[in-house]
Amino acid sequence: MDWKHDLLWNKSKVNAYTAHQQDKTTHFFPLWCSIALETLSRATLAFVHPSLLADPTKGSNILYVFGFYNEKEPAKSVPIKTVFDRLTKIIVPFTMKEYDICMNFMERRNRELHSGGAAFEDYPPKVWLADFYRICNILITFQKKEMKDWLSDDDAKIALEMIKKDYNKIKATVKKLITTHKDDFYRKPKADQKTLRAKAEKSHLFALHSIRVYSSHILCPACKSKALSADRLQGLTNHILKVRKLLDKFQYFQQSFIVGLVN
Amino acid sequence: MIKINHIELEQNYWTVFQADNLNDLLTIAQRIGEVIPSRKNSNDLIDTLTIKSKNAANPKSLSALYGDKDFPFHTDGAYLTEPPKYVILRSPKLIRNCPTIICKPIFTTADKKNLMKNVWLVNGGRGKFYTSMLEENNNDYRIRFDLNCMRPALADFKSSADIMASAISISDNQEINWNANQCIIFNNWKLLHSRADATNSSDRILERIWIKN
Repeated sequence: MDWKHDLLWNKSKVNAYTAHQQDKTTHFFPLWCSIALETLSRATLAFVHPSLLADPTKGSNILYVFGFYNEKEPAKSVPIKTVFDRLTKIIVPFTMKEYDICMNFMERRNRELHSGGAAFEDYPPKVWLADFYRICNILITFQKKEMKDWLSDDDAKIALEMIKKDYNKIKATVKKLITTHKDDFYRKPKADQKTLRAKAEKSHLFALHSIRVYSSHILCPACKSKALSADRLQGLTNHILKVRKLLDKFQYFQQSFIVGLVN
Repeated sequence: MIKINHIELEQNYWTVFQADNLNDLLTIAQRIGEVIPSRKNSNDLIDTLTIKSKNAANPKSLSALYGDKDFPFHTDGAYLTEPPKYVILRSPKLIRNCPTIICKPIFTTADKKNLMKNVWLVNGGRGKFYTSMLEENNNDYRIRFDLNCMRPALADFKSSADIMASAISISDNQEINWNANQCIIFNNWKLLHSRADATNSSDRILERIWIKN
């Protein structure tokens, strides 16, 4: 059975090493990275269970996972689109944003392989590499492994540095946004500030009803109005028993911030 | 009545015992785990290992490469995605001057890390697949080592062969000399084994049983 986790993990590693041996200015680098991403994604599903890779349209594909194999009927695995779709439901940090990035990468790969077009030309690493490493890291850590288990020590160091810088870039952008909105708000006359705060209060109440994910009440870091931080449940820790009350401790993965004044 | 010292097997990964009857031995083996045939397209659960010249041997076997000379250290069934965990060998008669050698390789933490990381390609006639010489297995590790059916998947990974050679060279090897009806059971996931030069032991016969897990 070729869909065992170890087999796919090792294959993805060979593909990742091969990718990093390519000249990074050529189309070979993103092409091999896309192959490494596909095998790594499939390894991630196999880590949960290899049956997640079986194409459900035919029962024989499921039987293959459990060792019942008919040589005349080769087993078929799910297409990569389904792999990424399943990952969004299994790994919390692998959101629709990561799905879109991966699909974009795969569509380019398919254009490269199935057409006469040069899909990876004018596609420099600065456009995609940080995202690629970040997504791979999500998949690797889910498999209880580290980047240095997947890449050479030197390449792993670079990858982690790029992820860190990308995270810092997001942090810097958010900080800049807050400062801009804060300046905008406090430059307004006091009366306008009061009106806007009242409006925010109302919006906050309406937002409460429309949110279907987990959320927590906070103050807007820019204007100090009432706001909501909307999250997705990342995990549930063990139950905690506190004076006749059973409490559950939730862990959230922050996704969006909602306030009446600041988008 | 066959008695296997299971504590010794657990602690040292090998133990010797006596078995006069092959059927009883098979019954005991089946109590330990699933007994599997070692030959492709064969249902025989007991193999007979004899000394063969290079020309007379199965082209995929060690005998085809080494004939009656020393066999290198290896684990059995390295070409299977799931190699047998235990191997039982039995000698029906006394064998002079051709021991089986058991080796428990000594690895440093860095060695283990590299052996687990480096990917090797297995091609032993039962499908090609990628693996490593040390595989994680329920918070423990399993050794897979047979240079006759394994090669580095990329040049970056070839250091595993040197690491294994070094681990073998510093280990304390044990020679198993064969008396009549003597048996050994060893953990094939933890120990390597080899055969000494058999130039003067052409009538050497061993019976072998593989136990999956």
